[in-house]
Amino acid sequence: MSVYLDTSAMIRARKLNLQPEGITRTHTLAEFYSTLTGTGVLTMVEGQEKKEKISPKRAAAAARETFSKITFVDLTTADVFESLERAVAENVQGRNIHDWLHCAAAEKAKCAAIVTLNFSDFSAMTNLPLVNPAKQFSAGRVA
Amino acid sequence: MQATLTELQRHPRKVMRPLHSGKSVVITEHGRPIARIVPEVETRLVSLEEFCASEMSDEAILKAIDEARE
Repeated sequence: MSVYLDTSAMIRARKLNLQPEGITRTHTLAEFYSTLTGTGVLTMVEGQEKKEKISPKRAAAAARETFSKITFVDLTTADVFESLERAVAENVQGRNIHDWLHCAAAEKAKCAAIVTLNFSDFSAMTNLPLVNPAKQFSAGRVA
Repeated sequence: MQATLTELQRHPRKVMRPLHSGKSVVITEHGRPIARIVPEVETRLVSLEEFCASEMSDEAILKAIDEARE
């Protein structure tokens, strides 16, 4: 059984220069690109907080490389409508719908676990086991 | 940190001082919060190699994903 990797896991993979195997949905590519080229990721440079981002050209190339071994499983329009109805029942609001749909895709693909940095939100949305990318990617365990 | 609208009008530099250490300031009027002033963080365009080499916490990555969804 394969694992589902969300956007946070794929960004961790990029930072570790890994091309993990697993499943995600096409929308993760957009989130990956958007995060790398957006307002930037906070880091420390010589003791000062800075945000870092990369150019659109580099982000597109990074996406192609990082997702090269990924299998994409997407939600149909009917799947999304059904997920939205379940989201209503669970009171999922605002931007949390993106993570909710990641869970729906992972369940549709019958993944064994979700690899994510976001345990706090995902734990309330799915019964699938959650795995930290550091643990998943350690000792070459990229699949 | 918190300050009233009157304090902001009379002592803007003093009210803004926490921003230099990365803290935000909530402005209140008649005891109710009406605004939040947050520190601006410089964004650098870097190479992919520099980006991958930088220390980035899990929280920083999650926050950037959230901001990209706005």
